[in-house]
Amino acid sequence: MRAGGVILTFLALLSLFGPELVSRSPAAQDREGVYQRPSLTGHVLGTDGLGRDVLSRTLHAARFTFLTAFAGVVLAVVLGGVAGAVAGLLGGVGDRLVMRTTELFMALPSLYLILGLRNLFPDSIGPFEAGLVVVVSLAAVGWSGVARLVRGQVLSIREEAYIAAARAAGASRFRVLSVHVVGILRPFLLLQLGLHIPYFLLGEVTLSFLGLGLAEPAPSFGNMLSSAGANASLLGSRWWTWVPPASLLTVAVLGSNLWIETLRARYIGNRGYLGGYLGPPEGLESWAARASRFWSSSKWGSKHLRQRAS
Amino acid sequence: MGRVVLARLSSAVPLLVLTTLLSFLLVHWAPGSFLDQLRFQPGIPESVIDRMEERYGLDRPWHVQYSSWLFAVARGDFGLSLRFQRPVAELLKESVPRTLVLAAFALVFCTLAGTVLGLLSVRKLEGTWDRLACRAALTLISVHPVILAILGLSFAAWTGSLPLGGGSSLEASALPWWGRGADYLRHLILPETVLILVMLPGFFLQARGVMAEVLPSPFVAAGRARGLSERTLVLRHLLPAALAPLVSYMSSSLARLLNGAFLVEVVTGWPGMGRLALVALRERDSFLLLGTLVVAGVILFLGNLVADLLLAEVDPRIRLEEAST
Repeated sequence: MRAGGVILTFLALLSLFGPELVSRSPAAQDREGVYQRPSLTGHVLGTDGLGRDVLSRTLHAARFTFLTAFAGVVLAVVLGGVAGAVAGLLGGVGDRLVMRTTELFMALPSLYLILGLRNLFPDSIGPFEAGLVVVVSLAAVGWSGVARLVRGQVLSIREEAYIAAARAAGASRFRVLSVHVVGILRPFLLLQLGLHIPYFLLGEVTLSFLGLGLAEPAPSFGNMLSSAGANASLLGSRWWTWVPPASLLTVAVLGSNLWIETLRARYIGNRGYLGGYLGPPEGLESWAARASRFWSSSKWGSKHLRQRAS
Repeated sequence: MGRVVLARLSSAVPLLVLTTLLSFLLVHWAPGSFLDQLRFQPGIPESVIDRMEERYGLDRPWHVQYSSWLFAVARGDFGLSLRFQRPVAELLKESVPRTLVLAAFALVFCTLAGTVLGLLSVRKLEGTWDRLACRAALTLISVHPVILAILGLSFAAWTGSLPLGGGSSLEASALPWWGRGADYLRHLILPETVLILVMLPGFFLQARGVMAEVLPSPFVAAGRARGLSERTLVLRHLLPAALAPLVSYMSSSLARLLNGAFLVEVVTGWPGMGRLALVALRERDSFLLLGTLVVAGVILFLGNLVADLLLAEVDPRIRLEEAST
C-alpha cells in the first residue's frame, strides 16, 4: 500500500507551502467576529474565540508540528545510533555506562520525564525556543530505545567475518564504524526513523496541549485543541475550532503508520505488526529502498559492497 | 521465584536511587522556584520568604538537600507541597490510587479483550472481520489520546448522562458507602472508556500478530491432524504458545499506559497523579513534582517486576535460564 507515502508527501508539501498560500495572518484578531461559522466567502474554516482565522492557524500549526517532530526523530535516531554503535563496538566499561544511562532514561514514563526536562526551562518562551525545547525533549525520550536496538545489531555485526577482514586490511576504528557498521545498518536506522514519526507527532501535540511546547498566540495543534477542550459543553456547537486541527493531525499520524507498514514489509518481511495485512511486499518499493539500491550501484556503494564480499 | 525477585530487586535498587537523583536534579536546576514567584508579590516582605527558605532547607547545598530528602522519602515523608500547604505524601495518597485504578483496569481489560479480538481475527486471516478490525485498529491508534478524550467529553456533554470531569460529586461525602462507590464508578466511566480506546488497538494488533505467527507452526497442524476440536486447539495449544510474547508486550506497554492515563486525567478531569504533576510543574512546586516523578518511576519499576515474574511463570525457558545462572 502506497497510501502512506502519498499522504506524507502531500502533508509535507502542505506544511511547506500551505501557510504561504493563505493571506490571513494566524495571529490577527477580530474581536467583532468571534466564533464565525465556516463560509466560502469569509473565513473558509471559520474563526476561533479571538476571531482568528482557523484555516491559517491550522496550516501554521501543521508546519510547526511536522517540522519539530521530524527534527526530533532525526536527532533521536542520530543520538541513539551513535550511542548504540559506540557502546556495541567498545564493549566493556563504555558499553555498560551507555546501557545504564539508557535504563535511567527509561525508568520514568516518558511524559513524566518530559515534565521534569521541561522544568529546566522558563515558563514562557518564544516560538523558536519552544521548537528547540520540543525537539530536545522528544529526542531525550526517544534516543534510549534506538541506542539499545542499535547496540544489539552492532553486537551481532561485530562478529561478522568482513569486519575482521576490514580490520586486518588496516581500516581504522572510525572507518569500520562509519563505513562497515553504519553502512550495513542504514535500512535498519531508516526503519527506526519511520517507526518513531507517529509517536513524535503525537508527542509534540501532547507537549503544546499541556502548555509546555509552543504557547499562544503562536498556533499549534495542541493549544488549539486545549482551548477548544476547555469547555466541553460547547464542543459540538463550535466544532470548526477543533475538527480541522484534529483531523489533519489524525491523517498525518495515519499516513505515517501506513508508511511504516510499507517500510516494515520491505525490510522485515511479511510478519510484522499487521502480519502483512496491507499486502505482500512484492512490487513494493519505497523511496528508501530505491535510495538504498542507488547507493549500492554508485561508485562508493559498490566499493562498500566489494569490501563486504571479501 | 523468591530468588528471581531478590535478584531483580538487588540489580534495580541502584537504578531506582539514580532515578530519584535524576528527578531531584531536574527539579533542582529549574530556573525560578515557588519562592521566587512569591518574591514578585510586593505584599510579602523579603524576610518572610527568607525564613520560609530556611525552614524548608532550600538554602542548603543541593547534595545535602538531596540526601536529607532521600532519607525522608525512605520513611514515607515526601516533604511539603508549597502550593497546597499540605504534605506531599497526603496529596499522593489521594491521587495515586485513582491513577492506579484507572490504569490497572484498562490494562486487564485490554489484555483480555485484545486477546479475544485477536483470536476472532486469526480464525480467518484476511477475512472480512479481520480486515475491518485491522483497519479500525490502525485508524484508532492514529488518533491522539487527547482527541479521543475530547470526543468522549463532547459525547458525555451531548447525552448529559455522565459527569463531565472530577472524581466525585459534591454531595458524595454525605452518601453511604455504596452510594459513594457508585458515584466513584460513575465518574470513572468516561476516563476509563477513553483510556481503553487508547490502549486496546495496540493490544489487539499485537495479539493478532503473535497468533498469526504461531498459527503456521507444525504443532498446530499436528493437533488438527489428531482430530482436536478447534476449541481445544485454540485454548490448549495456540494460546499458551502466544502467551509469553503477549506478557512481554504487556510489560513494554506499561509506560505507554501511564502516559495515556496522564493525558486522559488531564482532559477528563480525573483527579489522578498526572494532573497533580502538571499542576506542580506549572506552579513550580518542587517537592510535589519530585514526589510524582518518583512515584511514577516506582510504579513503572514494580509493574515491570510483576511482568517479569509473570513471564517466568508462563515461559518455562526463562525459568530454566534463571535457575541455571
